[in-house]
Amino acid sequence: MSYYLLLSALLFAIGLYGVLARRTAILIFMSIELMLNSANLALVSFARSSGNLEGQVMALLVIALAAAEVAVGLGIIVAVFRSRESTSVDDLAEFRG
Amino acid sequence: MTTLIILFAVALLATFAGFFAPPRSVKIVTLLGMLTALVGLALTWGDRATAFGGLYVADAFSQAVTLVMVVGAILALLADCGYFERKGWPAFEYYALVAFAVFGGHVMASTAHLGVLIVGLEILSIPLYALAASRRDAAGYEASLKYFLLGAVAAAFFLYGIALYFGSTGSFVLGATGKGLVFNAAVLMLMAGLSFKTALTPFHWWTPDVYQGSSTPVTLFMATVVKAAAFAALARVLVAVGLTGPAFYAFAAIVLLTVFWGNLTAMVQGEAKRMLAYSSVAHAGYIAVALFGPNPAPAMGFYLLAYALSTGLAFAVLAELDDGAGVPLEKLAGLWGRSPLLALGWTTALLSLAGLPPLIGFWGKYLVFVEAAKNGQYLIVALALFAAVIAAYYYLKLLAVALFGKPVKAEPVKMSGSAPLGIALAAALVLLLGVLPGIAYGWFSAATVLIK
Repeated sequence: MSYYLLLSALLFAIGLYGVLARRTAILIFMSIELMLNSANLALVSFARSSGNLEGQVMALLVIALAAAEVAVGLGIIVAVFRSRESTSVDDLAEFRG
Repeated sequence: MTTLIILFAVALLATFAGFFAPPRSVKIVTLLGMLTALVGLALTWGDRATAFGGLYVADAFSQAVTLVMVVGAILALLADCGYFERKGWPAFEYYALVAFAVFGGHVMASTAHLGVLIVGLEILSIPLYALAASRRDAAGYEASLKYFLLGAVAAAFFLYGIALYFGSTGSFVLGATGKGLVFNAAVLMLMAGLSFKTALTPFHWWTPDVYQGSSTPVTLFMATVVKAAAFAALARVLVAVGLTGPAFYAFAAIVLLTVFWGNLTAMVQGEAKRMLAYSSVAHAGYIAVALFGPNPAPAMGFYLLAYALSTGLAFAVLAELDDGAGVPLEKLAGLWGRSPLLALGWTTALLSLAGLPPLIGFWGKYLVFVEAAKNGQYLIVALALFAAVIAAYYYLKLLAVALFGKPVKAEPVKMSGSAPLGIALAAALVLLLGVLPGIAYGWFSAATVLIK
């Protein structure tokens, strides 16, 4: 089990690195999805090792939540792209201070 | 259970009414629905209701927080922006999204199950990502995208915290006992995820940009409703796991950073909405001070109400001055001569936010500081109090600009729609509940954070 947990922690770290290092909204968003799925992997492996199925139910819920986030998030990214012709987060510098 | 049903019905009604009724009627429907929710809350006040096998528990604390959220939503609905009417929006979705967000906040506040908590968190957050873009210009989209990306990262942290919590305790219900490295990591990750939503430093970076870029009534809504819901969840989590060991030091550091960073950066801002955004960060710090006390619920409920009324009032005034490009400080100049009602509301709001007696903000601060002092956290109280004194500087600066500044153009402000009603109502409540704080404290005195 600990290998799965190690993998999930690694995925989470890779996702976090992607969020911090990537400069395109879509790629940042994909990194966030990676973080969410690493949590799913942790949930499922904990559920497997403890025999408590609640964790697996939770993973299903998380998939639904992630889908809802994708729907709104991609909408926002498309809107940003239409108004700026770019989804680079470095261009988003309207505000200062 | 009544409140849950009413709030959900309002959200559905607002959604479907929009298909055949003009936005104006949808607004009235949503407002009436929120008033019904207030009545429902009053009728069931103090009752404890559980449903769905204990997943949903409406106790005194959840009712207190829901009251704050409904009041915040009513203020946000009453506050009209002049540029809303000129541009022909908000469309009806605006009201439906507000109603869904309040529903999500109520779910968040009424559960001890982490799975239900994150579902509530998402029902609250996803409408807000869309609402942040409601201005439909480059600034609005920028605010929305920043809020969305950072919010999703926070949700991922919270979720990983849940997974670790489940792994170390074998349960999703708050209050399960656990210890060891995994458990501590779980608590810290849950804390980080919720600190983002409550805008505690160092997780507050989105706040100024999002508050400034969203249309002003949406900012009002974020500052009141989201803060209340997120603090309800944070209190439930932190009190259940107990603020001891590494969690205590981490949280104390976060709170002290918040009160100083929020207040010090607010001073150098040149835009009123941005200044109030940093002020909202600082106020999040004061509210969090209550969590160091033995029973934070009454003080926290009172502070959330006080803050919602005061900051709601301030943003409602700004909404009237905002013509779609924000409110630089010069736009406030000479407010007294241009609109006495706005000036009166602005004065009341800022004095209350600064914590001057006899306004409601003073009693809020008093209660949270006394609460933390009960547990002997004198250092935290003293430092937070010191930060509150510093904060008076920029509140008085904002006030001085409005009262004594020379206006660029001295034409009177044209107020729109229902805004005067909202401003007068909020100002009256700030003053009344400040003179008679016992009334409001009585509503919250029975609340406890722990769900037994």
